[in-house]
Amino acid sequence: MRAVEEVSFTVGPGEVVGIAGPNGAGKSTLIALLLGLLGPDAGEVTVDGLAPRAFIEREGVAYLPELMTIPLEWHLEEALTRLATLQGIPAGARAAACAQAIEATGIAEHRGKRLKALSKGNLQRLGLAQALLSPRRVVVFDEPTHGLDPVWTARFREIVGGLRAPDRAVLVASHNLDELERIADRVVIVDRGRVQRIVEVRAAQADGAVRAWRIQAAAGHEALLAHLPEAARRGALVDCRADVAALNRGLAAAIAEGALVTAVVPAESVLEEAFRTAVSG
Amino acid sequence: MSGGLAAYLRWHLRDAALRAFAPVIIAFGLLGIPILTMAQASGWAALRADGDAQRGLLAGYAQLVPTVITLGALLVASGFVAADRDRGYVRFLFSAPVVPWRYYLQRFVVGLTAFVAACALVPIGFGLMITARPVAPVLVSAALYGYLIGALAMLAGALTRRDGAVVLGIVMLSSILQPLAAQAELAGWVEFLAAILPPLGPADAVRGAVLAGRAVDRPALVHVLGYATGMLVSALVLIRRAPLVR
Repeated sequence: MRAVEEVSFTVGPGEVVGIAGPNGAGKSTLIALLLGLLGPDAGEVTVDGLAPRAFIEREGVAYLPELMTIPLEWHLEEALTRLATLQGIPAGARAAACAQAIEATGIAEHRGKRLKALSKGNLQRLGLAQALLSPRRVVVFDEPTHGLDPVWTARFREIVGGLRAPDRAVLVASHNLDELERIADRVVIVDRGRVQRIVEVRAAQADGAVRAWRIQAAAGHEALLAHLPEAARRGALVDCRADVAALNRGLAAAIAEGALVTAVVPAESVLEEAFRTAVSG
Repeated sequence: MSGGLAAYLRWHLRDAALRAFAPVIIAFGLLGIPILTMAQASGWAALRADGDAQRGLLAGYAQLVPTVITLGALLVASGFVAADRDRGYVRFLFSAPVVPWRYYLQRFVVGLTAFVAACALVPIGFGLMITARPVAPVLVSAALYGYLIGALAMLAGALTRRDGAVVLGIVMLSSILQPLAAQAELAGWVEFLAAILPPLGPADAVRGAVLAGRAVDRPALVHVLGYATGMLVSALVLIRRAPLVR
């Protein structure tokens, strides 16, 4: 059985690219291929023109796996120091790099604890901390917010935002579409081991893109149905599909005819819509 | 060797020292408890002056040392590569700019060195309590056995998840078949099996000669070292070429 096949996409410098897919879609296999932990039976995976392992052995990658799999008898600070050592951070800079990563991920109070005493969320923050130890040109996060509370999920988005750099490629695999829509430029939707669609999130979110909208109105539903493109009524709501300009023109015309609009929201996020059609199709 | 891996040597040393001391503690438990019991009954001076007691303890020591070396090598070597893969540690370790086969070679060398050094504590401890015993034969025996078992464990770990069970099974099978094959006519396939298994029989013979201060059978020594080196190199090649996760 093949976990993935006929997969082809690139991640360029300066980009944040997401990989989305249902459970068992092949996301983790793709990441294992990218990290050179597995080799492809056919085809080629390259990182900066090199085989993945050759690239990683030369300069390393910042990697956060879905589950923190390091010996749980290690202490938090020891774990970071060990990984900083392996990453080749010079002895003189190691303590500062660890302290900075601990500070950035808010795990200072657990510094002296054994890893087995940490909660799932704190282990995940430690994983994030070790990925931030040294600046790498390639960053790979696999289900990065797994186990994080809402506060740290939001903080994670800030951290990814801070990682954007012209010479850095960031790849984030997640089943959390909302998260990917907020942080990624493009999202590769994978299902049954194949790329089903690549969504240009930023372009799709632009004003000119046609999207599904849901309008709540206290009165004037008929006017809304008459002036909004592809409009359909669902009780007190009207759904339509339009770009931002057409939406505003339709709303203005309907309001002029007496419609009383109380709310306008996207009916579905760009990514949710693409994901639903890609995966169900 | 990359800078990161060279700097990681101290962590490998620490891990290896913790593992290597386990068999030595077992050895002290096995031999130390009877010695302490006897010393408590008659006093240390009387125990050291008692020829019969000394002969008994020396016989115990002579039996204990090979056992400690065998069990110690098995304990120290198990899980060498397989555990890192099985538990997913490789994902963290090898996202750093580190060459995996070099990482495991360094770990192997450090682990073997720590094991040999820990085994030296057995004759030193016995010497402090009862009477001096030579340290060098124990070091040589531990190095030889640790190299053979360690290389076997490394190869088993590169091939399978159940390296501990595989190594134990092969060691037991070799230890039974090879002495039999050396002494008696066996069925052709059994002789063939005994010949291709890791040379535990020859290693036992070499170790026995070293510990007894007799001349070592050179072809047996070359056989053991050559076989162990072959397994070690094969393991490193597998680590280099085979997928790091299964």
